[in-house]
Amino acid sequence: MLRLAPYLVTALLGVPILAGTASLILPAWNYFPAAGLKEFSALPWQLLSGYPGIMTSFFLTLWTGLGATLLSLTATLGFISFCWQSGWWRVARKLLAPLLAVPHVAFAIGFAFLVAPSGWLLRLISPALTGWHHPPNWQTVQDPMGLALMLAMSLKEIPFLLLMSMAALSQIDVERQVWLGRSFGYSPHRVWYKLLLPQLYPSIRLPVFAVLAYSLCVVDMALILGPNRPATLAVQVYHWFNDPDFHWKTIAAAGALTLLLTTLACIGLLVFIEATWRKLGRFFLVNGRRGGKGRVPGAITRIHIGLTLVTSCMVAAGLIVWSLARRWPFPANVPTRWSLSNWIREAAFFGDPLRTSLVIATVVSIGALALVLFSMEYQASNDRRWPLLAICLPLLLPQLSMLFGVRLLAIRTGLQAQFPLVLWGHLLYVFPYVYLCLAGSYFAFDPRYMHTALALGRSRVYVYFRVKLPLLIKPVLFSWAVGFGVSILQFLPTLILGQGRYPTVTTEAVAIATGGNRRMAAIYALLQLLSSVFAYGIALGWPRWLAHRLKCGESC
Amino acid sequence: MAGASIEMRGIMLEVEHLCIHGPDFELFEDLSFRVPPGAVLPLMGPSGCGKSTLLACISGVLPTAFNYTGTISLNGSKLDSVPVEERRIGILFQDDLLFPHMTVAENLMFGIPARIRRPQRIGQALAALKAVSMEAFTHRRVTTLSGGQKARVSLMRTLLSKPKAMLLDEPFSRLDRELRTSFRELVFSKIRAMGVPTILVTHDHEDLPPGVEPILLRPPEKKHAG
Repeated sequence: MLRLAPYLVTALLGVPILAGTASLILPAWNYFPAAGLKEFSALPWQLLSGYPGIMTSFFLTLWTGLGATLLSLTATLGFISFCWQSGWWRVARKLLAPLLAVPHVAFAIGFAFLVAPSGWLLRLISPALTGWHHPPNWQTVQDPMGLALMLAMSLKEIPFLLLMSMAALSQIDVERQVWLGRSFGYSPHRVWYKLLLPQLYPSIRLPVFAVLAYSLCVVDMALILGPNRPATLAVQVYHWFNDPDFHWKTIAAAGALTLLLTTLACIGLLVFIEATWRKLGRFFLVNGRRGGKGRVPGAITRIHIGLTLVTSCMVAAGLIVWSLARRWPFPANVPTRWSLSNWIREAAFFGDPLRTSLVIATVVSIGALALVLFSMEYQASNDRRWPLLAICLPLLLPQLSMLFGVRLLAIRTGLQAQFPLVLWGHLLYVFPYVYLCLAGSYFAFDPRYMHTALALGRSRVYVYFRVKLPLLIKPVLFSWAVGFGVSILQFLPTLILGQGRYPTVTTEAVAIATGGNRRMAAIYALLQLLSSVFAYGIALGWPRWLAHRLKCGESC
Repeated sequence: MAGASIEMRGIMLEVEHLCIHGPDFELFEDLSFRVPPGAVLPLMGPSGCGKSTLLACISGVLPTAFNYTGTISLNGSKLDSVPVEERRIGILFQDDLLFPHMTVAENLMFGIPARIRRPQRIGQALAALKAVSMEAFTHRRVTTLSGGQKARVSLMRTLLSKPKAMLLDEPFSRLDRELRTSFRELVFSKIRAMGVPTILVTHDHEDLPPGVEPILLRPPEKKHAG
């Protein structure tokens, strides 16, 4: 039975991804029979390159995508170097699950509440420090430079990179290497720069690429926070794709292919920088400089992480406050009139999207977890690991390009939008996250437990469910919760593969947020957030309850 | 060249009235000893008696769950408030802990102080490798070395950093019998030549330097409630 695992994963995830991505190529060269285009030409590329503001869109994409990735990576590595095992570290560990639970769209909506000219940050200091009684005429959200988008993406990705780094660090003997490095006279942060980060980075390389691919091709957050005159390339492609005129789909295909090539080029750039650093940086590693105490970079890192934590808390608080605000004129710090009326009025409408979100997330997260456990057990029993690159492929290819390709493939094969297709679209992105979260603990599991239990005469299946799974219950449930959260936040798979027929809280949140209704947007963002928190609550609470029950059983 | 860089230091390591307090137990109620320059003081005792904790305390990396009373000094200077990186106490672990992203020579150069110029640093690393008959391994990745080769590189890396004292945490226990004897002799001869006071944690009486009585540590006693 386990032998089927590689075929199942390849059939479910591998083949459609590659077929979908490949199916972009023909429409990009003007071959799209569904629109009556049956002759190859470079017309889509000509129209794409001649589209007003396309170069600005392209550079905005590079600027925001690369900027967000580098900011989140430096903040994560800086935090690890300066705060490892400190009080900050313990706080971050505790807050990691709730921070991960905040969906991207909810974060973007809350972030917009904070930094908008009439947002909470300016309200907190107005009029006392600014003297303003009216919001200034600034463009801090959807700014032409894409700074709000870049900053929000970088803040949102730090917890993910931190989670991946913490998992990777558990495979490195950090404590004794820090001791050893310091015994040679190196300051702690130099020990990190010279000894530990070079060992850590290869383990988080793929998650970094995933962050890069996401940041370059993000649509949902960009619709809320990104510039719109012109927008980033991903948003442009999304608009072209949604145009009812089929001819725009060929330009969209060319744009999606450009996004794909841009992402691959940027990943190539990171690989090149890493290889160059590995070669030229060797001199730095062994130059013997022990370094000072690093107070300034340490302080900057702590401030950055502190701001990340404060911003995340304020984002959640802002969503709650806005959803309960009846009247909130500028510059009042809190609403002048509170009311539940927003919730009561919207309750008649959010039931269906919420139900759809929860059904999709439950089915997909459980399915993905089963598939991950199935494939991991196959690998563990064969003592061979699948290349992580293959697992992460859906995260490394631009979501928009791939889904767009799959949709074009569906159009060509006459496949209509169906619920199973939406479920599959979610599974595509949930599977790698569940895999990444569980891999460290699962493969570190001591096989002697299994061997001992098997030697007692029990069947393999019995031993797996009675010994291995209970011992791994914590990481298994946590990765399930991550999968549930990832499914909740999916925007493009629901919209593109479902053709808008299956509204979820996420698609509604984006639609309302772009319309500018803060109260309604806050409600849908909170519903998203609560759905994720619910899953994380189960994942963290269940093992504790089991442990408590075991304790009670012992004492009784 | 390696010989030229090794110098007699004449530093004494002293531990006086040391008591380490754990969350609910105490280690070594009143431990005192002196390690003269170039001498090796063996510590023995059952698992969990606090040998590695004692090394961590002397090195300055005692876990936060512990604290201690008493004094640790090097040549009369108290180390209590001196951070690890300024104590310059070298450590050699059981499992070498060579840095996998560096070559053999780079691992050695990592230990050499910055004030020494690059050509001299390279020269010292090569000489150190020659001293342990490993000059052919200069640019090899450390992951490709055998256990005995790793142990020798690890020792030379620690010595090149010119430590004021050395802590050896069961450095011979993973080596096979033959290798163990030759490596032990190499370690003791280098320590004598450099004149650094050294503490050796071991479980094996064969590891003891000739004519030296080990300090025997007892398992910790639980603190009495109230």
